[in-house]
Amino acid sequence: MDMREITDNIGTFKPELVPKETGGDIDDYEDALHVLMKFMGSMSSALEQVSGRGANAIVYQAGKRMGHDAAKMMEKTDDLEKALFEMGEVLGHEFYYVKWKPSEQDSYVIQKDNEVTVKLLFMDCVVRQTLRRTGLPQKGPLCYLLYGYMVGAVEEIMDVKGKLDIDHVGPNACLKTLTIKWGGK
Amino acid sequence: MVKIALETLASCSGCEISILDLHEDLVKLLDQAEIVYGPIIMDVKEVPDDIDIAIVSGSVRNAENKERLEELREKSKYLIAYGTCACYGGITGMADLYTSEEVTSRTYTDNPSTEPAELPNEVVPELLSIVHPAADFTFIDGFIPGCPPKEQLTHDILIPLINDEAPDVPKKSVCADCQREMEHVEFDKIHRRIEGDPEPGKCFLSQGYVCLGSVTLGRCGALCTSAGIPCHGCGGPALDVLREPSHDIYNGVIKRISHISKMPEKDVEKQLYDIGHVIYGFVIGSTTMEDKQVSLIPQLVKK
Amino acid sequence: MVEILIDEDACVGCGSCVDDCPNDVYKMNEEKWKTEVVNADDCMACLSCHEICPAQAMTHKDIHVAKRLYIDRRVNHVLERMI
Repeated sequence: MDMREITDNIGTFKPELVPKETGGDIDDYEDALHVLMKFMGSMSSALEQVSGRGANAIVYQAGKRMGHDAAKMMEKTDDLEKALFEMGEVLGHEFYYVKWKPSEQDSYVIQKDNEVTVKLLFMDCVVRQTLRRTGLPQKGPLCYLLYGYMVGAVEEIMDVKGKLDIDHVGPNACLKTLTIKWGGK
Repeated sequence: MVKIALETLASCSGCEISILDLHEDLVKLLDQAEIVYGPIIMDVKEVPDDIDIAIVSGSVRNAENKERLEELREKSKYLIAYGTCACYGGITGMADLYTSEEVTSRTYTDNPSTEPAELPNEVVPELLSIVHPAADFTFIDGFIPGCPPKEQLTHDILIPLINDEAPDVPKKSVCADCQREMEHVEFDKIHRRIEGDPEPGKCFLSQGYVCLGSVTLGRCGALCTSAGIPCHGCGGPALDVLREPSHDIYNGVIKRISHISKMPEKDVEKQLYDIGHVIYGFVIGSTTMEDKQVSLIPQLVKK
Repeated sequence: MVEILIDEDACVGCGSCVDDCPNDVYKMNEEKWKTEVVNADDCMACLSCHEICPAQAMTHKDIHVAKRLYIDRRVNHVLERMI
């Protein structure tokens, strides 16, 4: 088949006026999303096969950079709760999270020496959706994207060092512990 | 009067019998509904117009099945794919494990117990290249898997439907119906159904048999497991298997056996036998099951 | 607090939910050979129990439901029409 035989999605292009056929309907979005998920899954699995633990570091870097960039738009603060709220606004629908604590614990935020920890429950997560489409296990390299993002953002907003540990992964929510250490980057 | 039509495509007629198995409840059904067309059970030759609820059973195997399905769709308001063959291709889908030549030669030209003959080509409709469930060709309004759907289920669905109410039936797996108790027992050998003497009351998976109950849609009262045989998967996939792209009948059974017996999944895989018939026997025709990245159906199908 | 209902007819007593739940929400009732909810306060609605239960024996009421856009709309369409 060559160019002259194409019959669908025909439109007239002027450089100043892009035809509306370049947009799409829900079916196009679904196809694109699912193919992208397949790509991400493939990449993550190949990265893991080739670089082993290095895959985690690579994805973490990507996430951290995204986090730093996103946080440049956010208000700087020393207050962890406020920072979590700001990050939540940006991460928003794709990575919706809430604070969580076990029932016997009094407060969400625990302070010990110069470390502060808070458990975060990630409910919606595009990474989890990608892994569940491609059949890859959770808690793999792709999950480090979110880890990097949170750490990058929190470091930028609060000027601290941070880490995120994955406590439990599930089909509807994942529990992570955010630890921040005062004392600058 | 609500007009009901039944149509049989590539069906064993078990689904028609299951509707007759409503027994005395058939009288209750016929108080408000009339069956206007139903091969096998009635002698009406042409499909009438203005059908309210059409129930099609059997898969689409040849050109005539396809035409009849399309005619039924045109002439009915609410079309139900009844039975596992209409929903997923069912056991007729196992024909796809062989080439068309193997299927026809086994039937006509090269059969050990009959006089060999040429494949008939007059009057006999042409076989489609693969087996299709009804949804591949028409819009289906409702799916009722089962091989066949059991009378209690059919009753609980049809009576509300003819009264224009939504049926309220459970949608859990066979394990939910099964009375056997599952235990974690360590073992390293999987038994074929014909081996050994299974204990009653104890889960078949716990005894080392391949039982598809946890990945199969139930509502059948778990008749097979209560009669002493492991579930064969005739209700089609359980809804969580159908829904999740990474869940499949094959990896579901392997994970379950591995989880119960502590056998590594690779060892379980090595011992599974005749996957096309034992694991995927009822769903080979289903596009949903075939499209999953984790599905083995594309490797097994020879078309 | 999350409200969790157990369908005792469905439960096969495998104990997988007890093993898999990270927050010890469930406990095995050895006499009935069924699972029981003992700590709904700590349930975070991760639904790992749903994932492993062979009989779909539990229902979590009124929880935040995470989006599952990875499922084909065509498959959702079939699921909606499953009777």
